Amino acid sequence: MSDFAATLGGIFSNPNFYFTVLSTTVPILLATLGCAIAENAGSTNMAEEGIMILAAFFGVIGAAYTGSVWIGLLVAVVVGAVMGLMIAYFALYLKVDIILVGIAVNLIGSGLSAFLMYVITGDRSATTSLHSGTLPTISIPGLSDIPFIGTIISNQSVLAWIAYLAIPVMSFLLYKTKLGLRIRSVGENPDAASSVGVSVNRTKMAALVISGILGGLAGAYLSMSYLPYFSKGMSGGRGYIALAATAMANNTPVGSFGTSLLFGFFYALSTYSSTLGIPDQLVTTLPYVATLVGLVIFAINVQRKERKMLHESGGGHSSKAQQVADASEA
Amino acid sequence: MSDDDFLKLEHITKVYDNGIMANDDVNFSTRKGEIHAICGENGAGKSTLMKQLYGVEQPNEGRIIIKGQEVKLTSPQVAIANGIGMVFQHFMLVPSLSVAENITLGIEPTTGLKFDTKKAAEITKSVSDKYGFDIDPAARIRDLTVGVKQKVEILKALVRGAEILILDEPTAVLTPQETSELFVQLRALREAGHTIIFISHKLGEVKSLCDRVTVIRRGHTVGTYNVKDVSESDISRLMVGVNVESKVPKGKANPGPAYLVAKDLELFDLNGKRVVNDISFTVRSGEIVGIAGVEGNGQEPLVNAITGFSGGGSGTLSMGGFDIRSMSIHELREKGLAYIPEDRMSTGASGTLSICENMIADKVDWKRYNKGLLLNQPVIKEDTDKWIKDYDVLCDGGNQKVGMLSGGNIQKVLVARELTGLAKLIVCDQPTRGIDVGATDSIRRRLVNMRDSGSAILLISADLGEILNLSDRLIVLFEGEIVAYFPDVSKVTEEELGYYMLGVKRMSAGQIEGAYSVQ
Repeated sequence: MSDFAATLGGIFSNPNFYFTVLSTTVPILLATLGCAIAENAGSTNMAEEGIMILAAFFGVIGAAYTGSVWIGLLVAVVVGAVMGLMIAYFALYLKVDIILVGIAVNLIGSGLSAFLMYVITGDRSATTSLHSGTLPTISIPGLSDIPFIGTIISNQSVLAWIAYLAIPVMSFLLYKTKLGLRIRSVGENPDAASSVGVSVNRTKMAALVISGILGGLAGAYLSMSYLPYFSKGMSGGRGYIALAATAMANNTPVGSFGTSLLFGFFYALSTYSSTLGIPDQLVTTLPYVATLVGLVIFAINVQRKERKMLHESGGGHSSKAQQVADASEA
Repeated sequence: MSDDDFLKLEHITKVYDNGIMANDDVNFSTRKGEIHAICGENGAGKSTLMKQLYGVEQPNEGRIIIKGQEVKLTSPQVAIANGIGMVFQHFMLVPSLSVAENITLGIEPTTGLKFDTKKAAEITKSVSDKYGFDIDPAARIRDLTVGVKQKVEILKALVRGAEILILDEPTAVLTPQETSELFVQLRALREAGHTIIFISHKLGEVKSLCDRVTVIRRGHTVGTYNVKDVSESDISRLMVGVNVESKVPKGKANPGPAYLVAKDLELFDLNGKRVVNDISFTVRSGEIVGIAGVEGNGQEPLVNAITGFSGGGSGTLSMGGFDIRSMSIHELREKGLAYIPEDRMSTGASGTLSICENMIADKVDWKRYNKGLLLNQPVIKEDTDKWIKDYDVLCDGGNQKVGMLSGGNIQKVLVARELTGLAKLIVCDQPTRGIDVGATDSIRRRLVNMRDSGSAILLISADLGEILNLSDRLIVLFEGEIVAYFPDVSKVTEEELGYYMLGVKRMSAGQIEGAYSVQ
């Protein structure tokens, strides 16, 4: 047991571990911000998983055929935006349940990417043969010389910087701009918004397109930074983890950073599993177990908050159904 | 252009997709600078007419003319651009946003990319000062009282340049004091040249506030009258077509033994906060006990405790000698509890089930309605058809879904179900809220009949007229305590009641003791 503790201590004192934490956080963070903005507009974007994998795949194809990772990145972003637009069209104009649209996109994403990969490369597991390349990394001269911290933040992908910059940008967008005000009002009381002439559908669509773009960036990061190729199923449930992270963050950008960092931490820990002497399979479940635990903690917190609000408002405003449920629990 | 041409609706006909003709050749016109009431029963077509004026619905036939110009109001934006504003019954506000953000939503001031918070506050301030509203632009909507929220709604319309302001039952949610404050502001707006269209069921308010009244009945305009020329009973007669006394006649109560007994009752909310504080009262068979009070002063937890929705608390709470809190809702019902809940759609009825199914929901295990494993459909049909007739439910038949009915008819279905059960104790929470005069009258008469045939009735109502008319004895709740008890309601005035409801006055313990009468 002390061996285990020592190894764990070794991991935690190693700056490379934190470098890994920051880089494993990036796709979760982007997807979480994507879910968050959609959620603020009152639309649950289930489809980050599918968007991510499609963007990862088409990004690699774009990069391989044009020879430019930048064009690959552009393709990934466009794929994300188009998927966001498509979800909006189906959910808002054709009135399909947005959860079902999300599930459909996720199934299409995993199936289509695997199928096209086989058609194009003849390979069933990964596109290593395409040599699509990776996006450049950035190290800022002065900063990289700082001991420990320098190791952590230097040589992170350009997309990692974009992802972390996206947090304040998203905060600004949501809380300081006209679009943000409209997104929040549409999410909270669509009738109020439409009664003063704010188009609910158009506002939701804008939020879903931004959500799609963020999913596209997350996908691009997976196949053009995190790994230099696309592999089957590489989104690995991050889109679903993002949903949990968004809920736990109460849909705020800064909160999203915190919760995705938490999941990023467990992802990173699972990549160090071999050194821990715990069965690999067990450790790789860590991020998902963390999701479950996180959601439970989140649910407890929400309940506590609701009780507090009840208390403040003088009580008695919960629904009767809830009271019946509470009474039967008691 | 004559005065009457300020706003004219000519020959408006509106047929909904489901074939219901809501407006049939309706004519309506209003002058600049008047308060014009629209009265009509539920389902008479007032709301439909106003929705067309606010661009939410489009008429199938007819013209809308504003200041001599025919306009096509295809959306609320177009209506707003034509100087029409509407304050809905359910507020169209975003609770987490500030007053200024709500008021400028859709017409946001910006500097560069940013929403200009300062400018938004200035806009709010200037218009609220102009019309003498006292409002803090930075306050969050969720922290405001209902009365202030309504002011925000009015300001929202004014900021957008509304000259014609439609108010849909604005006083339904207000206390008497807030109502009089609203009326002062509406009169000031009239002085400033605004036209106000005031939709209300409360004829007393129409009488005291409005200049003219247009009555609509079953989709037709009955006529437009000068308010000073017509009495309240004139208006109600025009609305329903038959003369309806606004007060239900009732004789002296002949109470039997106490059926519902609450002694030293204390109730707590989920956080353990005391919401009902040491109250004692009884409801005897053959009498109606009223509970007056501003909403949120303990009525809801009290009703929930009596009807078995929530347990806990301390003290005695019994019905017919049985401890209520040790029984399930099913057992309570078997012992004769009837409950007409405040919210007819979420607690009272199931909109997707038929009238028959709703009516026998509390009686499905009665022998009469069962034949072996199956329900005895012919008997159910026979009985429910009779009740539909008895309770005057306007519908296509017992198989119609309850959700398709108007509010008043849904309430009649509910009342029919509850009163055709055992109904030894009837708990009525806002039994006539938001329903038309005809249905209100028939429900009140029913309750008096049930009293006379020996039911114990507990009536909770925000309608003071109703509570003063129906109650034999009256309790006032304030902050979970009984602050006043009137053994004889006939001498109580609404004003006096108002003081107790707001906690300004309070009776002595000796006077309140009378509420607990086992006889």
